[in-house]
Parts: sequence; structure tokens; C-alpha cells
Amino acid sequence: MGVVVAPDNGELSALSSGAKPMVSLLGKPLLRHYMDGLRAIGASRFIVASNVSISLSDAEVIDYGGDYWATLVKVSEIVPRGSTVVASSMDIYVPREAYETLMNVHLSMGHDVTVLVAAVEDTSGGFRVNTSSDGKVLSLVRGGGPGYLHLGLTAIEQDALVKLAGGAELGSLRVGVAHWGGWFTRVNTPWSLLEIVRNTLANLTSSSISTRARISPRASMEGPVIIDDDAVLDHNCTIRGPVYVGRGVYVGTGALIRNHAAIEEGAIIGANAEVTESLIEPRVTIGRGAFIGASLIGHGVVVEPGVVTLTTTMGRKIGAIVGEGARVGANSVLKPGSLVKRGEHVAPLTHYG
Amino acid sequence: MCGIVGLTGSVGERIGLVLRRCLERLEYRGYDSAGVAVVNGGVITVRKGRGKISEVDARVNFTGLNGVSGIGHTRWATHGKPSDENAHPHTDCSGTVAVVHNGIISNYRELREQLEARGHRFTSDTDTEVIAHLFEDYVKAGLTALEALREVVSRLRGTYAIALLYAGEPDKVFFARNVSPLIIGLGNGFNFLASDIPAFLEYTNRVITLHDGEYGFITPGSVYVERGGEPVDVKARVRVVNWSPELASKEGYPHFMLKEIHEQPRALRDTWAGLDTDQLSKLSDLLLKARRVFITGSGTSYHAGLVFDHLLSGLMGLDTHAFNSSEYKRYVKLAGDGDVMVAVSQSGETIDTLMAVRVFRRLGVRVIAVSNIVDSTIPRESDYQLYTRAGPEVGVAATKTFTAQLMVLNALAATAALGGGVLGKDEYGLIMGELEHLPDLVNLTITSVEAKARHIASRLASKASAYYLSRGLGLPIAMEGALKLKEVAYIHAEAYPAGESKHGPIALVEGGFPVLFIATDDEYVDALEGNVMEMNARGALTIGVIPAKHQPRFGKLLSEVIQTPNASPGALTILQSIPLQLLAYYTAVLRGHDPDKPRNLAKTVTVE
Repeated sequence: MGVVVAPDNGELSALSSGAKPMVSLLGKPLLRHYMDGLRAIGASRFIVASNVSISLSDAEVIDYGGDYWATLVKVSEIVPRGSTVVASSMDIYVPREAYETLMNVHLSMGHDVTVLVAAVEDTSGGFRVNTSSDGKVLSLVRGGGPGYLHLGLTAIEQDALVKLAGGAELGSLRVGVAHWGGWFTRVNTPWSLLEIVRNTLANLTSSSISTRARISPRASMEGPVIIDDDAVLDHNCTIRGPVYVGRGVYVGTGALIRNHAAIEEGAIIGANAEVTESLIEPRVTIGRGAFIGASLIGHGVVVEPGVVTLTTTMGRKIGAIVGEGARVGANSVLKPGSLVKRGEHVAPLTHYG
Repeated sequence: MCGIVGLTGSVGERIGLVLRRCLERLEYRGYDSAGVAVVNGGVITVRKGRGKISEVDARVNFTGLNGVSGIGHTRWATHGKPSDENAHPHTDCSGTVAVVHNGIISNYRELREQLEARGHRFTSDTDTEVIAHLFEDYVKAGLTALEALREVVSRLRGTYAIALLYAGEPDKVFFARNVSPLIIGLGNGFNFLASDIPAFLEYTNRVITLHDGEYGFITPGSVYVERGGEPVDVKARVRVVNWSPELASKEGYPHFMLKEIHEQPRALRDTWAGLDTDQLSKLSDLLLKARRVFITGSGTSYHAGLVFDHLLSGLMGLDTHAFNSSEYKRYVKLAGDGDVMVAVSQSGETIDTLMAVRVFRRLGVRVIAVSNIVDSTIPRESDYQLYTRAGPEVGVAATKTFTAQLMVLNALAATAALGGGVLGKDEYGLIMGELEHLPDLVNLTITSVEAKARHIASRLASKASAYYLSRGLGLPIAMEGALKLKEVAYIHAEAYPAGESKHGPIALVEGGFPVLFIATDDEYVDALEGNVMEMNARGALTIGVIPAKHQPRFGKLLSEVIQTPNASPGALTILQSIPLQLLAYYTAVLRGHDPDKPRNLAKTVTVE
């Protein structure tokens, strides 16, 4: 049984009115990445707990319980006897291998509960694992300071879940810890999505190009790239991986799509435009000759020709965030860290931000 | 740690071949001896021996065995040295019961005495054999096999995963679990038992994880589980595993290296438990009476040797010479009767160290071997053996075996210091008490420094070089830290005594150049402070591994500080090794390298 704890606290609200779980990332809604992670370790039934309305054909949607553990307690009433529940929180994104790591410890050690953790310098905003001196997990406490952060991924036996729901302390159960040494991302700002795109694409080792994509013989591709169904790559464009080009995306003549860019379904990249280290949500239009770097462009945005995003490096590269349905006028300049609100119209030739 | 498997029913191949394949997948759990037993026509056949699975198979041909049911074992010696006799499976007096076991039966002496008094004859030194005889005893008294198992489980104390064959019920493999892992694999017309999922993953991916205190049997078509005399319904506990078997053997850590770093408290606890104080006093007498003491090893083991060297010469004034074993020829003319050599080798097979041992022994030098592998070549060819009990180390980069070596050598040095009058009885008691409790402190250290190490790794990952500097006892630890960074993260790292900086190396230091300082808690620490300042003046990225008590003086000086708990100088070497291991690990992972498989390196070096 897979459970996705999917609250939308408005972190990504600028990008899509479809709510956080439905923001498109590398060809599918963010929520689907969590469900697919759970499916990979054997989940066949799903519960999604959310505070926004979502409709899914293959999952039962219930109300978010207020926090992660309260949600699990709610779930305890509906999971079948004898099953293993694996819960994943949309507050943190972990790659597929982390799900396998968790499940492996859980099964091979025969624990009641197994939590996936990583050592971090600052656990605030999450749950920290509180252990005894011999390494036994006593409880999960509100974060703060260095320690082992719970990565939102928990495997728990149904009978143990019922005990927890009945008020049992975590420390009274056989609790195991699975350590995760690889990358993970806390999903608490739109910039988190860029980090997920970067890390996922950085681990891409080979190209996959749909036979249904239409690619000009004069388009050049340097791997690794993913080109999805019905994408069109026009003459003389360059796709320099690692890059994702989604379903039905059009890349115009002479455009350059380069490292760690994800162009989602149906977006149009105009002639001679350049996109790098950015997430372009579905149905976006990027006008000819525009430059988009380290930026997030929300659903359906129109970026008119000649628009330039400026970037700065503050720990990570920061460009602009353009909210859903906004329009950025021709030849405008978006200064580093600009936030164009949803539906906002930026006049041509504006120095914004 | 050992690996066990059991199989009943037919998977369409000869059972001996299937068991061998399963055992090979468990070889990471132990590889000093192996064996299988099968039951066919009411007769149990056991084939086993010392050596790796492939070697034993070549000798005794267990792939040739056929039968209805079978069990297998790959061993890592704990009770009794690796030998043909001590290899599992073990049988009872009549040969109608065969058993394989992973774990430790803590009350085996008492059980063995009782059974011997009742006329049972034992053929091995293992704790496992009591299980076979105990089972036999109950069956002879008229109990059914399941009743006998129930009684056996009620008598055993300790940790165990057991698979047991009984000739009277040939289609069954009996099992019991307490603490040590045991998993059932469900097939169509066959069922498996194993310590770990990858053992049988090639044949089935439907598994049931057994819980502590559960026992029962598998037949080709059924599974029966009991706990405390009550049947347990395990139907709902069937799970399907559809991920890669390689990950499964790491017990949930992404790499063996991280798993083994985290295993250090246990490795040190087992190492401490395996130390014999009488033997330590005997060996310390030997050291104290020696004309001179040679200390040798390669790589990480050499660094452990350098710590020992410092303790013996620096603190006690013994005449010691530590050298890389590949350089032993230089010391041949010094060696002779009355000298003692301490040869450190994790694997016990390192060819350079073995050559040194052979040559020096021929010259009349008495040799003490320190190894993690019981009865491997170097200990076998030495006069005395001291074992670390860190368990098998799979990661090529030594981690837990290094700290276990430090623990053994610290204990030996303290015993020698007592014998030599350098330490009083009270001080000796304090140091040994500290070592005994060190596993808890190691656990605390891992927990408190891991996040910081991961953070610093992100600053180190983009660098091309690093210096590791220290003075005194910290120097071998700096050398070991630099070696770890080189071998898994592929960053050029150099360790040298901090005082050497201005004699050359500092010419390389420019803005952002990483320099790590390992601060000891002794008379060297004042000078080290000056070395930090000279590096700061050149804009280096200064990183310190500092015991808590020196935090006030170093905290503000350094760009990054990793604080370890306080400890006496010898024990501190163990604590300070840990952040350096974690730093190398996370740097490797961030740079996209697999720390378990460093390029160009092998775990055991058997060519000169």
C-alpha cells in the first residue's frame, strides 16, 4: 500500500493553479514521481492525502491530516490487515533508489517501522531522528540543528500502524533506520524544482529519443537527451544534454536548449531562443531570441521575443520565476530573483525586479 | 556474520548447484569456509571445508549433490578457527540431523557440557554443533521433529538464524530466528530460506521476513511458522521484491563503505570482547623484553602501525622502527634474535607483509600478527596472533577494520605501558575502561559529525588537491584521512607533519586550497595552532577535526570545524578517523564515484 502525503502549502503556487502535486516535472505531474517511486517497490494500491482537490483514477484521495504522522494515523483505518504501508512525503523529493534502500532494510531486517534518513546540518522544518546511545530509534522530533533528517519516506507494518494510531510510542516498536547517502531535495520553494531537474538529469547516462518525435536532419543533439513523443526539433536547433524535451514541444530554428533544461508538454521555444538550467511548464511560449537561464516559467506563460533573464549566484544560480498565465513583454529584462506574479502583464522593454 | 540458505523442492536444477549459487550471493557475509548438506532417501550427506565457496566446491563437489532438501552455509569464523571440522553444516552423533547457523549461542558451553554428560560426542569447536545434538536428544526422547525444535528454541540463548535438516522428515527444512536475519522465499513447488534476499532472488521474489522468536519449517508446498507454541499466520506477510539484488546485500545503505562506517560501534564491541587480557600481558612482556620492535604493514594497516609505533616509542621509549612492508629490505641488516615484529594486515594475505614476516622470522625475529581474518596466512606463519573482530569488510577502502586495529593496538600498548611501569594500575584501568566504552562514543561521534562531514564534502568535491596536517599521534590519522580521500574520491591528498609546511609544501597553497588539521590532545596542539594561522594567512580553506575541549581555541580560527568527543590521546585516534572516513565517502558520492569500487584497487593485494 503506497501513501503519498501531499499537502500544498503554497510553496509552488506561482507556477500552476493545478496545485503543487500537479506541477509538471520531466513529463509528468510531481505527484506521479512519488507514486512511481512507490510502485517501483511493489505498491499496487495508493492513497493520496491532500488539502487541495485532486482527482485520480488509480488512487484513493483523502484529506490531509494536518501533519505527516497525523495523516498516517488516519490511513491506519483503511489499510488492509497484514499489509506494509510505505508513505512518502511531498515535502522532500528522493530519487527512486532511495525507495529501494528503504524497502530493503525494512524487509530484510524484519522491522515494524523503517524510516529513511540522511545526515544534514540543519534539520529544521522537518523531523529529526532521536536515537539512544546504542542507536535505537526512540522518536521523531521536530527538527533543529544537525542530525539525521527523516526524508519523509517510511515503511510501516499495518499492525504497527494501528498501535501507533492507538497512542503507542515509536520507541516501543522495532524501528529501523535506512541511511541515504545520495541526493535529495526539500520541496519548499519553486527553486527546489530546478534542483530536482538538475539532479535527475545529471544522473542521466543515455539518450532516449521517441520514434514519434519529428527531428530535422539538420538539428544537432549531444547526449544524454530525452526527446518525448511528437516533439518537433526544427532545422539547425541544438539540444545539448542533459536535457528533457517533452511531448509535443516545438523547438524553433536555431534555438539552443542546453544543460539541465526541462521543457514540458506542448511548450514552444521560438527561433534562436536559448534555454538553460530552467523548468519550462506546459504550454509556455518562449519568443524568438529570448534567453531563459536558471528560471521557472509557469504554465501557459508567454515570454515575448527578445526577453532576457539575468542570473546571479547566491549559493545556487537564481534567475526569474514567472507565474502561471503571465505575459512578459518583448525585450524586457528580468533581473535576478524577479518574481512575475500569476497573470501579470509586464510591458515591453521593462527592466523588471 | 555468516550466510545460510535452505531449500526444499525442485527448482528444475540439481539442488547442490542451486545451493552453491545461493551461497555465492551471500559471500559478502563470510568466506572462510563453506558447506552444504542434502537429504536424499532418508540419508543426509554433508560436504564442507575450509576456503572460499568455489575452492571448497572444487574439492568436495557439492554441486554434484542431489536430493529433496538441502541447507548451505558460508562462514565467517567466530567460535573456532576456519577448518574443515568447524565448517558448517554440523551433524549430531547419528548423522540424522544437520544444521547451519548464523549468530552466537551464548549458553553453548553449558549446553555442551550437559549434552556431553549425556553421552553426545562433539567433533567441532563451534557453538553451532550443540543445536544438532540438542535436537537429536529430544527426537530420541520420542518427540516429533517440530516438538523437538520447539524445545531446542526454548533452550537456546543468544542470537541465531538456524536452518536444520532431519533425515526422518526429508521434505522439510526447519528453521528458527532470533535477532539474526532470516527470510523465506516462496516458489512454485519449492521454498527457500536465507539470511538475505539476494541469495534466492534468481529463483523467486516472493518473500516472508521472519520475526524474532519465530520458528517452524518449510516444505515444497507450504510454510509453517510458530512462536511460543502458537501458530503464526504469515500469509499476509508475503511481499514481492522487485528491485535489484545488489542493493539488498548492503542492508539498506547505499554503499558498503557507509554501511561499514556505521558498523564501527559493533565491530569495536566485538573486537573488545574478543581480546584476551592474559594474551595481551604475554605479548606486552615480549615487547618489553625485545631488543627492538619492528612494526610493518601496507596502506591503512601501516597507518595503524604508525599509531602503535608512536605509543611505544613516543610514550614508552621503546626502540621501534615502523616501515611500509614493501620497504622491509632496508631493515633486514638490523634484525636478529631478540627482536619482535608486529605485522598488521587486515586480510592476513598482503603479499609484501607476508614476505617481510617470512624474512624476519628466518632471522630469528618473533612475529605478532594483527589481522581480521582468523587463521589467514600471515597469522598462520607468525608466532603470535591478535585478531580484530570487525566482521567481513566488503568496501575496498578499509574503515571498520582500521579502527578495530587501532583498538587492539591501543590495548596492547596500554598493557605494555603497565608492564613497563609507564602507567600505574589506576591509569591503566582508566585507559582500558575508556576503550571498553569507546563503541558508545564512536556511535555518538558518527551521529554528531556525519551531517557536518557531508556539508564539508560539498566544499571539497570541486577541489583538485588537499593537505592533511597534524603532529604527533594525529599524523598517522591525517595520513589515513588523505589515503581515504585519494582512494575513493580521487582527489590528490597529501599528509605531512604540520611543521613541514614552510619547508616547501606551503608554496602550493592559494585561496581556497583545502587544508585539514587533525588536532591531538597533547603537547603538540599549541604548535598546530600556529600552523592553522599560517594557512589562514594564505587564504586556505582550513578544516579542523578537533576534540571538544579545544573547540574554544580552534573554533574561530578555522573555516570549518568538525568536533569530536574528548578522549585520551590513543582513543582519540579512533574517534578522529571517523569524520575523515565520512568526508571521503561523501566527497566520492558527490563527485559521482562508487566508493565501494575504487578504480585500479583490489581489497587484498597478493602481488608484490
